[in-house]
Amino acid sequence: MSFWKCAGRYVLASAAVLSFGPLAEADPLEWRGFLTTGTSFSDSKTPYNQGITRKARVTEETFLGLNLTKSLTKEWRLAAQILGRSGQADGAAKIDWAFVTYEPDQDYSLTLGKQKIPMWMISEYIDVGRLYPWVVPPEEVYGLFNLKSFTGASAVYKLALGESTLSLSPYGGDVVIESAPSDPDEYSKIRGSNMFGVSLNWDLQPISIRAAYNRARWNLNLGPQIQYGERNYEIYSVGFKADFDALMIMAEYVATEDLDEDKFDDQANQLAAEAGNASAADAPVLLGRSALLRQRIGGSRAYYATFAKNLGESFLVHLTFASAKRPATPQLSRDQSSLALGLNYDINTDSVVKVEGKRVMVPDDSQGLFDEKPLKDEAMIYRLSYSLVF
Amino acid sequence: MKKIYLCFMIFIMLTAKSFAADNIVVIVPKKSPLTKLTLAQVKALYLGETRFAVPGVQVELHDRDRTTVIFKEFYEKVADMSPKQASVHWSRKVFSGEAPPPVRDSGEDAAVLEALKNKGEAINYVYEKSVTSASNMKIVYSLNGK
Repeated sequence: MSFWKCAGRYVLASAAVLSFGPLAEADPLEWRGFLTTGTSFSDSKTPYNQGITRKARVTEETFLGLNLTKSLTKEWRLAAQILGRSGQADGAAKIDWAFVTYEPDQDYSLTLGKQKIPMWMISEYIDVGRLYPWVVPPEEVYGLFNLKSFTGASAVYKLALGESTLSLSPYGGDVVIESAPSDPDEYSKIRGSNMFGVSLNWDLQPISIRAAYNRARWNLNLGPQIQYGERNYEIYSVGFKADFDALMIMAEYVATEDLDEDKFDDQANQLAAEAGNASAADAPVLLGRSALLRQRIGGSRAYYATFAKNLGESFLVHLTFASAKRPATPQLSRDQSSLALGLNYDINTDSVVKVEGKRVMVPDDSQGLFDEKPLKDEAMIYRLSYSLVF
Repeated sequence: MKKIYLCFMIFIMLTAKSFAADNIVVIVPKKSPLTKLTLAQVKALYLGETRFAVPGVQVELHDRDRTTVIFKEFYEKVADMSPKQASVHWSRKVFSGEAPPPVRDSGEDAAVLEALKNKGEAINYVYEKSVTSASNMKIVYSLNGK
């Protein structure tokens, strides 16, 4: 068991003991919940972004969350989120995050446990559909690297600058990503260790800006036949949001770098040379392993820009342009751009119905975010959802 | 002419009184160590940025029902937010685990004053006209700046 996992469990166990102690009597356990259900389908024969096909799917788009907070003492606070996704293989609800926060003063706080990675503008509430305009956040950026939560420690230092607040949040720990949530196996977990990062936020209501950096060592050996090696990987992101009453503008840019991109060239060359002398049965396997080591994992760039306008009290129309440049193999990239138009109807303050149409455009030498190279270079993705907080 | 002037003055006095009566004030129980807050401090509390009203003094944040007129007026004046924006802002804070939700005091001002009575660390807002000497509260911030 890693240090961070061990420490995280110790902290959560301590928090659980504290929460039942006499100090906790004054403050009850507060809970809130959220639900999103919806459907998505496309007009393409090729499945898009892990399984969106011509047949409308519902299960992958449905999830329910429960959010718990409790003040343990004046300085210590416990927070947890339990999330159940119907698309998960076992269908069971899991602890999405759970942490304790020590806040001795208004200027700084320390958080320990499993917590969200503060990488994107909506990282901290990415599963709460009521709180952002799209049916799903633009996959060009948010699907680039499925970083959600890590186990470790983070700190926040806040500095008041006139009417605005500047906050700096360094963090560190370990992370595990399930690469195949609907069909997990012993090799589908991607593990990142020695992760550290920092997030800088500037809030001047209604404008906010975030810049973030993340670095980790990822074990990308995903089974005997899929060996990308262990790689140090960096992610940079910057985001902007201006949320006026009638108009909202939001944009994010992200870049990734594989620091060990050239490290495996010798090994790849050696495997290719071995393939030349190997038997007819072994040669393709060695060549395949060589190709995997040469595959580019870093060097991606992606961004989106969203413009949203309220129409009266209940309607919101939004337009999003997104673009991703992702090198994959020398023959095929995963570049794509898209234009999405959506209309949201607020049933009340807590619930919303969203409908969205997204035109995806893929260059000739790319498969975009389709599960394989699409037959046509353009496709429409349709999405509909209902989101609620309670 | 005198009658018109008199009527005008009476109208001014009546409307001035009604404006004064509609002023919103932030209150704490008399036993609270807080004495005065600035707009920035009130804003930071009611946007969930901090639980400390002033350095070293933590408060139990109470808020009004989101459907009330006073909730709408308060967030418009303090944070330049509509009720929907304020609700979504608070949901973001709560669902990120960044801040615990405020205690919602339902009912009119009288019910709010009653709810705060025995809570030394609590803070909420009511119309100024509802605060009397019998309510045992002190005003730490007035939205009309007085």
